[in-house]
Amino acid sequence: MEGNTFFNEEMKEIIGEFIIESKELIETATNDMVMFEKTKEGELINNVFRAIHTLKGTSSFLNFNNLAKLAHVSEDVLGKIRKKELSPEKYLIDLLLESFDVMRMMLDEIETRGSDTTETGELIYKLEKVLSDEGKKVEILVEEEKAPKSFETACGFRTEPDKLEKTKDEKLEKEVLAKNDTEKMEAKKRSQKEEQTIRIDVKKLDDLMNLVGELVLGKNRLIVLNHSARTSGLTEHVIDSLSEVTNYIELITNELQLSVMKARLVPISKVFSKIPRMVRELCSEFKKEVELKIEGEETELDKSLIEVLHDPMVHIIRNSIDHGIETPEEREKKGKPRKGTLSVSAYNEGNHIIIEVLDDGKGIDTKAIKEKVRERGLLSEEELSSMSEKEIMNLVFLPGLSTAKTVTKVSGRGVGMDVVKTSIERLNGQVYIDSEIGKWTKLTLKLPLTLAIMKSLVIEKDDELYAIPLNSVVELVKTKEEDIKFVDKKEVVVLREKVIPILDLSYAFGKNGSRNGKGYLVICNVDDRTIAVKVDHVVGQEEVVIKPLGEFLGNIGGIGGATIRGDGRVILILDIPSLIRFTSSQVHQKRT
Amino acid sequence: MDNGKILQLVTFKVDNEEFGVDILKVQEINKMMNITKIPNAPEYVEGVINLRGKIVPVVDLRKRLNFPQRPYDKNTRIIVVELDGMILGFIVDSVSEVLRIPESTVEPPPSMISGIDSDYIEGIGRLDNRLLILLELKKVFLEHEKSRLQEVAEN
Repeated sequence: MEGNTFFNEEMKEIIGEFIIESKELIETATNDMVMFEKTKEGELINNVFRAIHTLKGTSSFLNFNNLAKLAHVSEDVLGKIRKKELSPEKYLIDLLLESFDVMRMMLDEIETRGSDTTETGELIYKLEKVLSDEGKKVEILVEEEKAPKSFETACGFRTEPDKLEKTKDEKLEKEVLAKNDTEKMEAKKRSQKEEQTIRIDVKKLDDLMNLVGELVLGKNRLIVLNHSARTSGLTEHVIDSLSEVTNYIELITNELQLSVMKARLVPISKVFSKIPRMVRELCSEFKKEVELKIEGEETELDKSLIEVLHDPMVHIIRNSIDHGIETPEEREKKGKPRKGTLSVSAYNEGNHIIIEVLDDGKGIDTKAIKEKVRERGLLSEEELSSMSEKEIMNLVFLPGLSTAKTVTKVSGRGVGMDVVKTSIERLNGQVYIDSEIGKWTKLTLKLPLTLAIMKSLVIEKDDELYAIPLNSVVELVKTKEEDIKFVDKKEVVVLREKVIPILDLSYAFGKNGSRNGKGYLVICNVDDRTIAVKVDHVVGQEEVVIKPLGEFLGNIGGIGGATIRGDGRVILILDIPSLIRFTSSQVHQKRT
Repeated sequence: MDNGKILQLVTFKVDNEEFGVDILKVQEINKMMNITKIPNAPEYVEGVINLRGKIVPVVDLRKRLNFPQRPYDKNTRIIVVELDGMILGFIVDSVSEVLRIPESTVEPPPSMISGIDSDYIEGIGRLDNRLLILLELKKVFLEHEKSRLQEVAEN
């Protein structure tokens, strides 16, 4: 009995590894396939062939026979393409990509249910048909060539040409073998490189990160203690040693935090690698021609961000190809090259990652946006007229706004861009859009390097402490009563000739706070919109570990999470984008 | 009905009622601690506490069960439970004891009892001359989910 469970455990582990590896194989195979279609480079199809061959081997070894069968047929087709017996027509590539998709689905099934039961009959039939059709053609060719020969051999003659052919065959075989050898060498080199890395369960890294988070909090407490020790009447010597230790611990903790954070970083190619395939499909769906350029694939960011980034990227790319880039005919009419260009790039900027998606399509028509906004009554006329071009462009992120004229499978229903925005904001990131009509549109995503630790400004309001994410803070202003003006019964402040609406936290949080003008204004800027958050005191800049409020409380307006301070107290982290939305909805409600 | 099963319950008081919850659900019992209020949260959510580095939401059972308010005192306790993988706390007036009662003494809830919506009640335990209300924790906490969903639907 015990041996059996041991075996099961072992088997589970083997299958788990098989699934991870196979998914990676399929992913690289898919990408190489798409690349191969473009470049027709022999090495790429060899890679695909190798990947599927491996998959066939491992899956049949583990008794996933359906998967093995599909892989086997695909491998045969790939083999023929590789040997140039089949030409890589589009339909053939479509078929192969489809079979890769099905294989991935099967792997998902194995993961969740332990067996591969997806219906593959039709797909296998199609692939086999390709093989047999082509086989027939080849056979006919061979028959024609060999007919006289076989006659000769049948009559017992051994002719020269036959021998010649044989040696030719042998030579070819040798070449292939030699090639196989170099392939093996390469594979060995690759595996040597891979030995430098180990797979770790993300859970383990999460635990490590949590512990480091705790350590950071502990360090913060130590710093607080160190400060208070100075006034406690301890001897100079003790105080000095204490601050020495504090500094040391601070240094080490910061380094440790950085290393653990780095251990969780994954190159963004994990997300970018899916783009070529997507672009290929979207191009055929929307009848567009697009040249894809990808840059900065090696840029690294936190594993958890990678996972959440996938969907927004899908939306953005779809939008660019559907709404941005024009059809080849339209483009020619406008004097642009038939092929549109879509470039996706990623790079680091300080503590942030910037992802840009730029297309040379028709740009954003701010007039059309204004019209839509009016039509749907999303904003008032005054509000619209007071907005800059750039602000109007950023209205595409409003829920329920889509400027597409027709509803397509993927876009035009008014969902999409607002989903992108909310999911990026959930990651403490920001999205901007910029465009020149008729020329280009650029979407910029700005994301923090990590989700777990954040620099923040701790402030006090109505005897409660709150943390404001430092990435949205622009400046701090000390206020006097007379600085605060009223527009439309709403408090505003004029700062360097710019009118900035004031957000009163007491009001947003439904408290009757003291409505005095004293205190500070924290000027926050998110997505080109600025608000001034009124606070009583500013405590200072602190590094906080973001802790979610949990499933039970869910999303609470204006609150992005909580953190634990040096003294053990819980304080809330403000969610500035949602507070900005709150203020603007207040304005809107008052006017309507 | 009587299969001789024994229930182990943590019993506590809210107002004049005595309640019990399955001891296996209870993670720990704490004295009153610093609670950070959460603006815009449902009214009966008292706030969040720092439970050794974890942020734990705390519900005031008095508010939840519509008992009159009264200030916390030295007997006030926070009972921390695990529910569907979530760690949650609820505030009670005082914690009494751990009781073992045979399952056979538990009766199904009457339709209405002392003003508490009988939805929250799993059963009534009868021992000597005491009545013990067995709380259905899931309902106590998850009712809120329902109302929040309703809010969303109404908007």
